[in-house]
Amino acid sequence: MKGIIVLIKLILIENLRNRARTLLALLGIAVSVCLVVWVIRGYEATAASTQQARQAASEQPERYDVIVSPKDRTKQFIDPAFLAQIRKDPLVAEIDEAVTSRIRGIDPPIQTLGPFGGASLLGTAAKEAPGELTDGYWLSEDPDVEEAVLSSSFQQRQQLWIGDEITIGGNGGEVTLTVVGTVQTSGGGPAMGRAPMGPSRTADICVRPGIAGRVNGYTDRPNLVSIVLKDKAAIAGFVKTWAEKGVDATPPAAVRSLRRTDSDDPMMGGQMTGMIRVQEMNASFLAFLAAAFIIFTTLNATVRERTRQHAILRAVALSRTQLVFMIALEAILLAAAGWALGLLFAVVFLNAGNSLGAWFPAFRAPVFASHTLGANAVLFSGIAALGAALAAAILPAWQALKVKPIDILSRQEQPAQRRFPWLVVTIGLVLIAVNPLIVYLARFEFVRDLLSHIIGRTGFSPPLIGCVAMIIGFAMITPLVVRLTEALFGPVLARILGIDRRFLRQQLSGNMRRTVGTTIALSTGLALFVTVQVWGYSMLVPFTPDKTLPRMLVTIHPAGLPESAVNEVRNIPGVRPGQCLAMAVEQPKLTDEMLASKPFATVDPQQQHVLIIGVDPQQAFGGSDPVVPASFIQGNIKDAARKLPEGRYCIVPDNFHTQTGLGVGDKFSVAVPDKPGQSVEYTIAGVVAIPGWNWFTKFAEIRQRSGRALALIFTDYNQTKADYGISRISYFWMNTDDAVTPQDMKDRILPIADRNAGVRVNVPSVGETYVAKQYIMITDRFDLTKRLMGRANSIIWSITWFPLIALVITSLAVFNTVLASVRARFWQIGILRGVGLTRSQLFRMILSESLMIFGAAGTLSLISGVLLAWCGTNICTYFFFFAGRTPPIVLPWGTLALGFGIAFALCGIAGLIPAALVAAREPLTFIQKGRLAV
Amino acid sequence: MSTPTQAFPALETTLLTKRFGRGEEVVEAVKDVSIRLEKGDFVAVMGASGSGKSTLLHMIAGLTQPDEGSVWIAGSDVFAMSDRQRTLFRRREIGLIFQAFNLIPSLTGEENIAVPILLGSGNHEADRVGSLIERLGIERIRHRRPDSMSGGEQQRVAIGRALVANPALILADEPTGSLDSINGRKLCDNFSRLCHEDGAAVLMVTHNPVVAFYAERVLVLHDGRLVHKCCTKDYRSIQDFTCDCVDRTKANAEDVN
Repeated sequence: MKGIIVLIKLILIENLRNRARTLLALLGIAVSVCLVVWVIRGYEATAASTQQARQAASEQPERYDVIVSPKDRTKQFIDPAFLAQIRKDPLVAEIDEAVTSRIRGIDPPIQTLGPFGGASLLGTAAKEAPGELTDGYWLSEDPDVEEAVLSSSFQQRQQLWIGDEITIGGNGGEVTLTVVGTVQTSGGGPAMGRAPMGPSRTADICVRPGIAGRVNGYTDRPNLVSIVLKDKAAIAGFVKTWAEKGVDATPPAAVRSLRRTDSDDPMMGGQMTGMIRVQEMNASFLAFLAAAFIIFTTLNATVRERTRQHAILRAVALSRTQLVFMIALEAILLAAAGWALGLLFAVVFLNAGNSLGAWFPAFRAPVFASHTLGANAVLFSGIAALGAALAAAILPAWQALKVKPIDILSRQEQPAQRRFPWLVVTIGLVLIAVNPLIVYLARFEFVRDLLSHIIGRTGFSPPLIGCVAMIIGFAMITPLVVRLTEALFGPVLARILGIDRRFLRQQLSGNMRRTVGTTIALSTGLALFVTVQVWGYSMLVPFTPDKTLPRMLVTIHPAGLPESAVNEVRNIPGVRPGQCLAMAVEQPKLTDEMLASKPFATVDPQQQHVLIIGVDPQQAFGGSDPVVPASFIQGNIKDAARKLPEGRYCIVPDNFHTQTGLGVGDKFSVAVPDKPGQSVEYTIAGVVAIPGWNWFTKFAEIRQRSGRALALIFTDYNQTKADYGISRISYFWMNTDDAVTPQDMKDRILPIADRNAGVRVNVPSVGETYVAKQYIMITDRFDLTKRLMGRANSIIWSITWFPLIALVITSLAVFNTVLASVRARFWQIGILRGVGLTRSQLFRMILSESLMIFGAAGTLSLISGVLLAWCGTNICTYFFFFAGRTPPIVLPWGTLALGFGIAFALCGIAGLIPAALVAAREPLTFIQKGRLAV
Repeated sequence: MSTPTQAFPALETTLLTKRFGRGEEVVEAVKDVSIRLEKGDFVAVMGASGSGKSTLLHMIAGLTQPDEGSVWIAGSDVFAMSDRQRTLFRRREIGLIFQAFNLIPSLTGEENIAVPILLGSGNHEADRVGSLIERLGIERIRHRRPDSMSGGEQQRVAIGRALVANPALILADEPTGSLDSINGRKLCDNFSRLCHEDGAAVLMVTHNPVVAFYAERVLVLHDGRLVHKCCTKDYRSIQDFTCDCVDRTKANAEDVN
């Protein structure tokens, strides 16, 4: 016991003597602990709030027990014969038929939640409200009463109150309603995910069937039937029975329970929470690694200077065991103190954030909702601190065991330089090459099959292992990067700083181990930053529309225009001459034979439809100023423009070609919608790159039969009209004068559209409908790109904060390294000051070390980040659902410069402070202190 | 600040005093030491450990400020200058040699010799460096780093560095302390010859009477005070000199006791 007390005293004396070093170590540990706590708490809070939201949603009072809806969302009605059978079931106490649809509000304008726009309308004859009435009263029984009951979420969003008026419009026309009540809901709007939602959760606006009919243009097509059962215990059995029968209905119907114990979809809830947990584990693991690495490098920075001290202790007092114990004990004490400090920082930070939430939106994140740290956060941060500290103690302990005191204590020549670790570097290069090799080989189908087989059988992903190997490889080649930086960057820096370059010759490699550790630490954050930025912006490219696609996509719903009115649109002022494509559009599904064939084996089940866009081939692709100036990957514009009018030829996008392997001359067939047994076979005439078609067509509501589409395929206009029976044109793609805004175009097209309304048309998914009024949607490429980039920036930067924080923390390692380097060179500095090195020159020399570390870390990070991103984007092409696109590598130089600028500034500060402190000292200080060390 | 160097002694100190500590724990490391070296003089400073030899040397080199007294080198008052001026002055007019580990590990032998020049204009005066390398007999190691040089070779390089700027004064702190006796003697021979040839004054601190005997004059310090001065040529042999030094040191110790 006495011995331990003595050791503790020795430890305390040593750490008090080197207060700066100790404080830095404690600060590094504390901040790393705080980072781990922050990440874990953040995800726990998010998972908890998601869980709470689900809990709240599932506990909403629901009148009904069971709902019936079309199984296929493309069919918007329920088989009447099936309903008649259900009505006869003795368990049924009450059955209410309703029609749900989407409408566009006119006044006040509807604040949309997502890309779909509008609001959901429920036309119901139910005698009671579907949920709890929070204000006002339920609808009167009159089917044509001009009243509306709103969901509470819609009411809050729109700021509408009892007695207010709302005018809504749909295919059938407009109606002005008076708000008479609000119903409690969990969110309103369309049903989310796959969990069944009853009427109380699907409808923003509830009206009587007559009103719904006037707005929709049809009344007799219920697509949502809600049932109350007499015996609640029989819900499961009832659902099972009728769900089986529903499969055979025409169209097939889905029957589901609404009760929490029965209907709570564990997959859905579990999936969401599971996803958050997986993200939490990944982020926590990263934070844990970063924290551990930072702590390791911070404590390890002074290894070399402690070796002599340990040797002296061995010589005069301590046994090997005692020395190892002392080293480990110091690490544990520092880790414990740093951990406690870090937890304190975390508590203060969370509490401060909680208080600031009232004024700053950023502090309203779920993580600040709770004042407590949570057991996981405390545990993992403790493991990180202790584990890393003990790991950092291994090297000095091993050296202390290895070194004989006599070797250190006797006067000796300057130690020979360590040999360059060529073997380690070589192995590192090999490891780096693993992933690019996998990416290169993945272009061969047999390799892809083999890798998919390995993933399927073993669960191990070779590309993921390749990524890990690459990361390790880059760490191993750090000595090479350090040497190269010293050789290439050193002379440049010396010139800038006005120092003879020979003094910087071994500024970094003089203590390679310390420099490598610090470089890797700094690169942890910086490389991750580069990877996130490059990967993120590269992945955007295939989805960001460019000049390949025309500027405005005009949607005229639901009736479109007759052929006779098409030229009126072409001649609208502002439309560039010859730059307006009328489009005959259909969204057929691939035939079953196609889906079963090899080229389409990997197609996602949700992407079995293709968008057929019938256009004038010459206008679209030919001439000197084509409307769609796409670049051809296979085939050429002349042949394609010539072939399309000859028959069922088509031009497919690059992702279709990559995913299926089909190219020029190959064929595929699609089923004609609503005509069972009929199909159309196409021959590919060309393959083009048209980035951004997905977002364009998604926002333009051009996908009328399925939410997703495998490809946008250009065909001949007249052939397409004939093949699918298209008599009216609902879509135009055009280039306009720059000064024309989307609103201008909308205002100019609307009169044309309204002149051509007042007809009955067959609306996909709805059927024959009278259209009294049309609506125009303009999808503008500039707006779309701006929104996409805004959202992308937000997502990318939300991921980027973590590496930037890691960067700030690891700059402490740079600070520590420079201090350790100065301490190790006190004698040398004394000599140089003695022979005429000025304070200013000394300052610049010390500063140069931190800047050169930045140079090494920056080089390593840029290369590793770009290569990791390149491998990632290519791997996504082959192994993950990315619709077969291979994104090019994009280097966002602006944001990269920001990140590197931050790193440079941090390294500069980390070097400036010790440089200033050291330069201020008298030369004799270095000679005296250095003599002690030497 | 400075006047033509030829008219002034290479070194003159007047009542140089240095104290360490505070209050009751003040120690006078050097007390009222006045010495004078002319151009070409070779003077050794001897004394037991803790006698203030190194402190005296550090003050003369301008590495630490004296509490009292002055230091004039080649007609310039060293402590009337700013730190920067003093550093530049040291680069030009003073050559420093330490006991061991004099050299910068990342520089070659030739570059180590040229350090004062590299710190200044950077224009490598190749002739001067080459001449010193030849005179010191270290041609073999001019392109080697210190870790592949012997102790003696390192010290010779250090001498070369001390001489490269043609200084008025060379200050050597135990230059043979880390060498064996044969190499120590060789070093002293070299040292003495070169300094004489270049006309630099040399002040060498040593505790070794054998080394001190190479000097023309010897100053003995005891407890920071200059207690004895002698000329080595006044002694018939090194043994006489050594005995006298030992006796003087003992006597002073007894006087103090």
